[in-house]
Amino acid sequence: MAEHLPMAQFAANADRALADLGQRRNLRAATDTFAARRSAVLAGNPDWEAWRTTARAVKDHVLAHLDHYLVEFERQATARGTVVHWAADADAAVRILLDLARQHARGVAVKAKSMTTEEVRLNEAFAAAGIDAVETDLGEWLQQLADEVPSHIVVPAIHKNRDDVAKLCHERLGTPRDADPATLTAVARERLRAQFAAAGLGISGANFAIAATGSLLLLENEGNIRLTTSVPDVHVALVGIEKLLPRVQDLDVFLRLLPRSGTGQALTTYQSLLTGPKQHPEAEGPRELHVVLLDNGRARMLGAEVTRQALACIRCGACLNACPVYQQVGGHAYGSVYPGPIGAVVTPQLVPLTRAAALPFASTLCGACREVCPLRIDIPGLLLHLRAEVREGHPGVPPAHSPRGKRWAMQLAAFGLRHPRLYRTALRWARLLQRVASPLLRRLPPLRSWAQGRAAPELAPRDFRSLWQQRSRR
Amino acid sequence: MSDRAQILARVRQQLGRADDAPLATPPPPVPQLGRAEPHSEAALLQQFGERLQAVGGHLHDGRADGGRAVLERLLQQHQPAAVLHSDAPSVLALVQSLPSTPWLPSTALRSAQFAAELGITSAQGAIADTGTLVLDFGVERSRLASLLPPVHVALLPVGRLVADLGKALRALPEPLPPAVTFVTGPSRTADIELQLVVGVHGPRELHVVLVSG
Repeated sequence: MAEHLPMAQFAANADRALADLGQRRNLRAATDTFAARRSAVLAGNPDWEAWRTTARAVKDHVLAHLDHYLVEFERQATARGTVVHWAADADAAVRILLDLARQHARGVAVKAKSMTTEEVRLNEAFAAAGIDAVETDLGEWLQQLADEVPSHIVVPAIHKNRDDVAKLCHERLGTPRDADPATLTAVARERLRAQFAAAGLGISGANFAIAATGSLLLLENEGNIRLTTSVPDVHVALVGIEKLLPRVQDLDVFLRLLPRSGTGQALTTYQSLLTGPKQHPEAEGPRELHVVLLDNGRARMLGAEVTRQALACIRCGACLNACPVYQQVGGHAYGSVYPGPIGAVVTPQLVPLTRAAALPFASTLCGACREVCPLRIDIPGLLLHLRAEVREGHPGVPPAHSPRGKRWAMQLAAFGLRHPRLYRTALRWARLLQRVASPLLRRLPPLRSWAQGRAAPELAPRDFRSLWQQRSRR
Repeated sequence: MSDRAQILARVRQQLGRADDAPLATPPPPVPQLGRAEPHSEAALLQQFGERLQAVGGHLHDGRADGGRAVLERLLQQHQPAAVLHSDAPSVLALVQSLPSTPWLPSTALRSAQFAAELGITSAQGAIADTGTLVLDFGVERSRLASLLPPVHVALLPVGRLVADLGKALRALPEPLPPAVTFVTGPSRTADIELQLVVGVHGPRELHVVLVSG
């Protein structure tokens, strides 16, 4: 069964990922392509900033009144014949889904891509219960075939190139070693059609849940979500409590933001708005529709504004594609269902901070994530907030590891900055000696490894103080 | 305490809200996001055609004969072993007028529907801005006919075309049907090295046939 890497060891995971040059090439190519597509679809769009503002205002409103909208969603969905379940944590969600699977799946449940089901580790529980949970999104299916967890929230197999995929399918399915993406896609279609026909239960997530109508909205390109939610007799959606929107009309702005940010499309191929099971026995569609509302740590994030904003995330993946850290190490290094910048802020709030203490540090704080976030989530601000929690002895959190050399250097710098005369003298000597000392220091440990690929800036011939003094004298 | 009570209590505690507290403020008004330029039917139609083509769909004009000639040509070209059809009146009229076609009604056995090679339905709306079809499965048995076969032919009454997504959302019936799907081009994936492959789980070809109405 596919396992996550230990999230406490981000640094070690990252080192291993960095040594995999092939994967780095694949990640770079893919994230660059997505970034370029996003820029192309946003180019010359005068409304983008206004859309971001509108969407954020809606999310802020919903989150500030989340209890109201949850109850409203339940009332409206129930009135349309949907069965609404509540799951306080992952175990509760798994129990509900397993019960439904035992009653309805007939041995096979088909799954549409859902990060929430990854979060509660549904596939493991199903395997233990002897029920096949078949991933039907092509990328997710490949990851299941490889016995790996997804490495991106939108493109699960983003770290593999076509040759990796051809090799995987050759080994697991006996397809030709040099099969191209179109051939392999056709193989997936045929194999998965048989599963869709056999499955008694379809499991999905949802991108949005509409309180006023009790509806779910799901976006996709492939059609596997439509099959999952149309063909089996019973459909169950596992939905985080933060996914609510007040009205159907609110979808307008979110459907404009999400595909553009995620894949650079103006609209994905399909958006399905699902409101209850079929109304007549002879109609098409599932006879039962279940919605499981999942908390699993989300409610905790509502208290403070700074943490609450992370619940505005619509899981577009733009921050992953823009992040210089993610681009190099990929998703698996984070050891979490939610990797990248948004993962580094969401994960430590969903799992105990003790386990995820390394993740808020897995960032350069460059701010590219905040820049691209369609909901304007201040991810760097959140990372700093969480770093402070880790550092300032959040109950039960051991201080994060920092190398002794770095600690000494910081203490030395702090001492110098507190003593102006010493600081000035040191600068004077540094300016005199840098020509000789700098190349020397670069060759000696501990600076040697740090200096690889970095150029040390030269000190200016005149420092700010003396320029200022000269200026005031005039 | 039930999970429901637990979750609601946690949410209310974190937000500092009392049980059953009303909304402190109404939700933000829904802005009109589409550009507010006037659209003639001809301009909308042209834009729809361009956008549909850009996402890999095909637009045909069937206004003269309810789509019959276009469908005949597509049948000729694909030679489908079975054609899954919905129960929309405009579709049933074509079924009547082309009796030698291997028709399969949407009430047929599931296994037969899975084997169909072409599907024909109508569409309840379309969006010019994105080249999108609106399929309302509450008024037509088109949920599987538009999804299972590798080729999907949709009859679009030309008067149902609207300018943008916001207008299409506002035009949805109330109460909402159990399922509405917006369709923009053929089924696609780019999950293997971002290479575009069409027809992964749904249709690989999408033909929109304009009909009057």
